[in-house]
Formats: sequence, C-alpha cells, structure tokens
Amino acid sequence: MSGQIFQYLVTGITVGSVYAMVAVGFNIIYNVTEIINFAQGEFVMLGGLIMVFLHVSLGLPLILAFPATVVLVTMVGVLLDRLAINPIRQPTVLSLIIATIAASILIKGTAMFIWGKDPFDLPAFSGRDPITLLGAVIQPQYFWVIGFLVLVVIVLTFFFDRTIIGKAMSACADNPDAASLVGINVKKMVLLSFALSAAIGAVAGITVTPISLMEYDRGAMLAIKGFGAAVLGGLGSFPGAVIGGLILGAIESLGAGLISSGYKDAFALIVLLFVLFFKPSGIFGNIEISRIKRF
Amino acid sequence: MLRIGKLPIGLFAGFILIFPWVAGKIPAIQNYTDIMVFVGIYCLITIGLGLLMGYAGQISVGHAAFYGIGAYVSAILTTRYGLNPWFCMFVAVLVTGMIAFLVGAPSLKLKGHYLAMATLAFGIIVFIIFNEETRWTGGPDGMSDIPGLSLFGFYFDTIEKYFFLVWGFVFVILIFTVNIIQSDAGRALRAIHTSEAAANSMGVNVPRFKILVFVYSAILASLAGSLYAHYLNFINPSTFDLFFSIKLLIMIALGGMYNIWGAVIGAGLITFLSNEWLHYFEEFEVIVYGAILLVVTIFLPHGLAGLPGMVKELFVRQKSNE
Amino acid sequence: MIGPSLSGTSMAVVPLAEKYKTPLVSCAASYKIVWDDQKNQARKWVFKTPQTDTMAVEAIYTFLKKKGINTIAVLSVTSGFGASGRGELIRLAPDYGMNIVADEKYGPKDTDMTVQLTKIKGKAPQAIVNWSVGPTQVVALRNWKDLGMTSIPFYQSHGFGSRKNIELAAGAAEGVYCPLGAVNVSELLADNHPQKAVTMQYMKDYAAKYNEPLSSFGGHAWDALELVATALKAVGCDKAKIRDFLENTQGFVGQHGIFNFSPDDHIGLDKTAFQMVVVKDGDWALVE
Repeated sequence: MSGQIFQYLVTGITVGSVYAMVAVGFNIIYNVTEIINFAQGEFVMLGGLIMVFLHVSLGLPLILAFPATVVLVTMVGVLLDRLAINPIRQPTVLSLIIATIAASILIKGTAMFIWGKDPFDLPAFSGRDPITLLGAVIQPQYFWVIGFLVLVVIVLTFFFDRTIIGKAMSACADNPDAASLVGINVKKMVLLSFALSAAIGAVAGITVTPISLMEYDRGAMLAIKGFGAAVLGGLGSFPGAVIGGLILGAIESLGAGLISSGYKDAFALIVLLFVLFFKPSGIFGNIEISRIKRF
Repeated sequence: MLRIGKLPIGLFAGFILIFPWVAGKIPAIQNYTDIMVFVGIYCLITIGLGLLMGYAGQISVGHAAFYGIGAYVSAILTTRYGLNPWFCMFVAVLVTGMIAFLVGAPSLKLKGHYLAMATLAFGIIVFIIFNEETRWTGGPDGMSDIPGLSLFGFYFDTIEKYFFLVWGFVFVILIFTVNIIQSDAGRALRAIHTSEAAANSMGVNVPRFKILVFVYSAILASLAGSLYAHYLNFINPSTFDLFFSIKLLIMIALGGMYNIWGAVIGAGLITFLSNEWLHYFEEFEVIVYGAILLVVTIFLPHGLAGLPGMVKELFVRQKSNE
Repeated sequence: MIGPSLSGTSMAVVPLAEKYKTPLVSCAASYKIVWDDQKNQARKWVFKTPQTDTMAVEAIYTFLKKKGINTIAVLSVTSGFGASGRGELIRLAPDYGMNIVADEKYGPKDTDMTVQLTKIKGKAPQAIVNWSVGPTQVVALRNWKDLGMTSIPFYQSHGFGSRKNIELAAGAAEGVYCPLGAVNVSELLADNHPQKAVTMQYMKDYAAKYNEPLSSFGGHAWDALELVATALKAVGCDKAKIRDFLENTQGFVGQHGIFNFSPDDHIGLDKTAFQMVVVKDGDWALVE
C-alpha cells in the first residue's frame, strides 16, 4: 500500500509540475497588470500543436523547432495583448476577464480549424523507457518538464529582481500611474508580460506533449488548475507557483488514488475554492498586499 | 436608461403575442417559435445575471450550474418520485436558492478575478457531480421521459402553448425586476457597483445586497432550468457545461448589462445565432462567438442596448465642440 | 432522419421522432435509444446501426471466458460512452463468471492514468478492460506499459478501432485486444465471410475519395444510409411504410454486421457483429 501511495505522490508531483508552469505564466501577467489571463492554457496547447507541426510535419530538428515554436507562440501572446487587451479604452475587471475569455475561445476555435479534433504526439526528448525510482515509475520526459520549470523560475526571479526591465514591470503592477510618471512605458511592459507568459506556456506545451499527447481543447482545464496552483501558492509569487503546482498535483493524485478517481478533476477545484474562501492570499501571499491591490 | 416605460413593455408584449401566428404563416421561419421558446428560457437567466453583473457589478462564470440544478431537481423529483411538476419547480427554486446562498456568502467577499474563478470552479464541480452521481442523475446519458407541464387539465403540449407559458413567466419576471431596479434597492445596487466603499459609508449593507442579488439570479436560472427540462423532456450534463456559462456572458455582453432590455436582446441574438443562423459554420461557430465577445468588449462595452446612449453622447460631444 | 452520432443527442431527438412519427436511424451506441426501459418495449420509430456496448462486452467476456480468465479490472472514462460500457461490464459480469476486483475512472481530458493503473496493479487482476475513446485510451496504454504491467492482458473497447490509435500508442499497443466490427479488418476476413465483399468495397471507396485510412465510425453511417436508401427504393416516401420496411429487414449485410430487425429488436445485431482482434507488429490480426 505504501508503495502505491509513493507512486501516487510521484505521479502527482510530475503532473503538478505542468500546473506549476501554467501558474508561473499566470503570475507574470498578474505581476505586471493584475489581470488573470484566462487564455493561459491555450498557450500551452499551441506550444504542443505548433511543435508537432514544425518537428513532425515539417521535420525540423528538435534544436530548431523548440525555439521556433516558442517564438511563434510568443507572437500569439503579443497579438492577444494588441488585439484584446490594449484596445479596451476603460478597462474594468469585468471587461478584462471577458476579453481574455473571448481570446481563449477564439484561439481554441482557430486551433480546431487548423488541427482538427485529433490528438497529436511528439517523440520524447530522451526516449520512452520509464525510470524506476524507489519502486515508483516515472517517464524520463517528466524530468525535462521539471528541469525546464526550475530553469524558468530561476531566470524569471533573476529577471524581475535584478534587471531594470524586470523591476519596471513590477512597478507597473503596484502603481501604473506612478510607473509612467517615472518614465516607464506601461503599455510596453504589459505587452512584454504577455509575450513572456506565452513563451513559458509554449515551453510547458512542448515538454508535456510527448507524455500526454495534445489536442485543441486541452487548454481550459490546464488554465483552471494552473490558476488553482497560482492562488494556492500566492498570486504573484514564483516560488509559490511551483509549490502550489506540486501540492495541487499531489492532492489530485492522492485524492484519485485513495478516494475516487471519478472526481479527480473536482479535487483541484475544491482546493481552489477552499483557498479562495479561507486564505485567498495563498501560502506565500501577503494578506495586506492582496487587499490593497486594485482588483 | 433607467426609466423603463410602459410603452416599450407594451410593444414588446404585442410582438410576443402575435409572433407564433406570424411565424406559422411564413414557411421559412416556421421553426422560429421553437427558437423563441429557448430565447424566453434564456431571458429568465440573463435578466438575473444582468442584474448581478450590470447593477451589482459581480461576475459569475458558473451560472450554468444553477440552471442545471433547477433542471435536475425538477427532473429527479418528477421522474423518480412522480411529484407534481409545479411543486417540484418550487422545490428546485428553494434548493437552488439555498445552494446559491451557501456558495455566494463566502464567494462574494472576493473581488474581481477571484470571484470569477470561484464561480468558475463551482460551475465545473457541479457539472462533475451531474456526470458522476449516476444513480440520481443518470450520469452522462442523462434523464429522459421527463413529463410535460399542465395546469388544471390544460396541457402545454405544443410549441405554441409552451411559448406563451415561458414568455408569460418572462414578462412577470421582467416587470418584477424593473420594479426592483427602480426602487430604493435598485439605487443601492447601483451605488454598490460604482463604489462599494462609498455605498458602505452611506449605510448600504453591501454584503447583504450582493448575496440577495446573487440568490435572485440563481433562482431565476433555476426556474429556467425547470422550464427547459419540461420542454425537452430530456436533460443531460453537457447542456450545463462551462461553455454555456460563457455563452451567458456573451449574451449579457452583447446585449448590454446596464440595461434590462440588454438581457432580452442578448439572449435573443445569441440564441438565434446558435440555433439557426450560424449553422453554416457548424462547429466553428465557436470562433464567431469569440469574435463577437471580443468586438463587443472593445467597441461596445455597454452592449447593443447601450447604442442609443452612445449615439446620444456622440451628438452631445459634437454639439459642445461647435 | 439519420443520426445523431452521440447517445446523448440521440436521446434528445427520440421524443421528437416519436411525436412526429418520422423514422430515425441513429448512429449512436446506447441501447436506450431504441428501447424504452419504462414500457419495456422497443421505441416504435427509432432504429440504430452501431453495435451496442452490450455486444462488445459480450464479445470480450466470451473470449475471456474461453481463455479461463475470471478476475478483471475495469477502467473507464467518465463520458457517456465510458459510463455505458462500464455499466454493461458490471451488469454482465455474473453471467460470464467475471469477478471485477477494481473499478477505476478518469476524465476525458486527463493526461495521466498512472494512479488508476497503480491501484489496479495492487489488486492483481488477470486482465484489464478499458472503455474510452479519444487520446485517453492511448495514454492508458502508455502508462500500462510504463508501469511494467504488460503481463496483465489489456482489452480496449471498440472505440479503439483505428490504426491511428495504434500509431499514437508508440509501441504500447502491441498485444492489446479489442472487439472490432468487420469493416476495420476487411482484409483479414476469410474470402467466404459474408461481409467480405461489402467491407472491402467500402475500404477501397473510402481511401480513393478521402485519401486516409477509414475509421470505424464511418461504417455505422454507411449502414444507416444504405438501410434507408434500400427502404426508400422499395416503398417510396411514406414514413410509416419506411418504418415498417426497416422493422422487417432481415439479412442486410452491412459494414458492422448482418442486420436482422424485428418488432422487438431495432438494433438488428448480436455479439457476432464483433471480431476479436489483437495488435500484432503494429497492425490488426484476427485472434483464433
């Protein structure tokens, strides 16, 4: 039995790392704009499908296809900002939420138009032979997912804390008027945040497709669970996103294994509701700050 | 547009009264009466949701759940226990109201995005329950052989009869809701939307109002769900999914949330698009919805019902520039 | 009317077919489409062409029994298709002496079934039966192989019936069993098999027109369309006459079986409409 529980945990953590990547993407946009981007999951989906097109259909080698995909999805992120967020003249919470929801259905519909409803596969980066760790089985591709997650978090933390652009972006979230007073081009920072967020989503999609395939409508569930992870860890905190994602994955896994597998999706959502009702600032969040925030 | 006069309501009532007769005479639009039944059912939901979003300023991305709870309670009580459908409809309203209160109380303390996510999560959880609890709900295969409605021996068994039944409900609710908006309660609601802090300082019990409107909108959705169940005589969980919640948002955004006619316009347009006019696109109608929602959010934040207001403002601005 | 292709939508259309007395030939799976459980009789105006889950389950159970297997694990998706199959697996188990030691589920968008399979591994069944369509049936196979469970034979539902699925499983489908309608294995049928000619012709026509390998579902539509066309040619446009003609159709050779309708049977097929098939060297092979 304990061997089973250990497998549940291992699976939970590996699945959770995907949620963590989505959560990191949420946090970037949130940190700059305080917007929750409902289309975040679609970036993941696009990353997977575009990679399939470049690597499998066109035959580009992995080394080229990977960055090319990231660039292409980043452009979609830029489009999202330019066409859906920027044009809104008097942004309110309601209108921004609805705009990102609209963008997510548009992207999903277009993906269905281009790729159809079939699932697609990618070859694993380092083969498919499962690795056994203390009796539990892991696909080697998951190590790529976790590896990229760690890399992304380290780079982002450095970026936001140490570089001028990064600090400028954080300033926009705290007070956009003050930020523009000191010469920060707020609109450009918002654009950058969407671009970065899309790029990270793409990385998640590319690394996860070899394990679980990818199809046009995978985005919504990923976005919701990713948001759950972000809130659990504390909206805006990158280490929070990672911890939140791993914990959420573990809870989901243990719930499915020990309680009921039919309700697996519900576990992540119930956790989200609990956090929102009792401690909306999450694990690493600060209650004072979450009260002052504009939204 | 806060004064909702007797004339527009009267005109609209006239339109509804002659609609089935006119549609029956024109072969090309003969099925429009059936579509209008759905428009009426959705109007019940959008009137409440519009009140919640436009006047109380709260967002719900999970309202399909209340629609579904109403439908399933009605279906379960009538098919498994053989109880009177009207009584079951009433019970459904009570049950939905209670659930809305239990969920709303903690949720409405949240702001903006958090509230959206909480309602989203709630909507999906309810959907999963509909799918999983097969013994009660029939699971993904749904529940069939739900009885129709009748009153003192008069059976609502044709499309036209059900049309008048549903629109009867709509008018009652419409007038009732208009009265709320034009009362002190309505003013309090608008104050809350503009600034909760200001409303609070004026003595408005903000949490109580938000919950009341939330529960009211949920109850209307429940009524709509029961009417839907007794019309189609069959329900299954896929009707009450996340996409339907989003469709409701599209209706409100397109019609306009700051005006009760927006609820009707939005429900009407989207229903006709989805049940009739967009069939050419088949499943790619999703792209059209996304485009509509985006365009409306950017260029028509007050929806179509807000167009007259926007045009007026343009004129005013022109005049003042001269 | 021909269609719809989903059980849920079919159930919504059924009351209208009955009310407006128009024959409906559905292409969906659930037996409830043609059978009114409350009145315990066939629905007068509704027929369907796909085999039911009952037949698929019976085909699998018959085969398992022959192999001496009696402890199984059930894995299913929480959609209509999965729930229906699971229901039949549970209902028919006692008839074939099957003991279900595990009953696990997953969602249609799930990306990992390791947890469910681990649970199943712990119960040590002699075979696993999985009921789903879409990518989940492929992911389940990958997980099954990863967890080193290939010593426990894996049986898919008839939803697995497409060469694309074998491809997507990336080697994990080798040795996997599933029941398939004849249309999927037309080349493997013996020359004197009654469906050989019809299925071979369909395969050629489909490939010529669409330039892709056929999938199981098109066969159901072919069956429905041919049945209705035959009826129209025989009795013309009278709805009641078409209904009567369909109800009395016997020995109709279709893509998925030979149809014998009757007043009590609006499905027309039985478990012989399925051939048990195993994946060998990346393609289908008939068993026995």
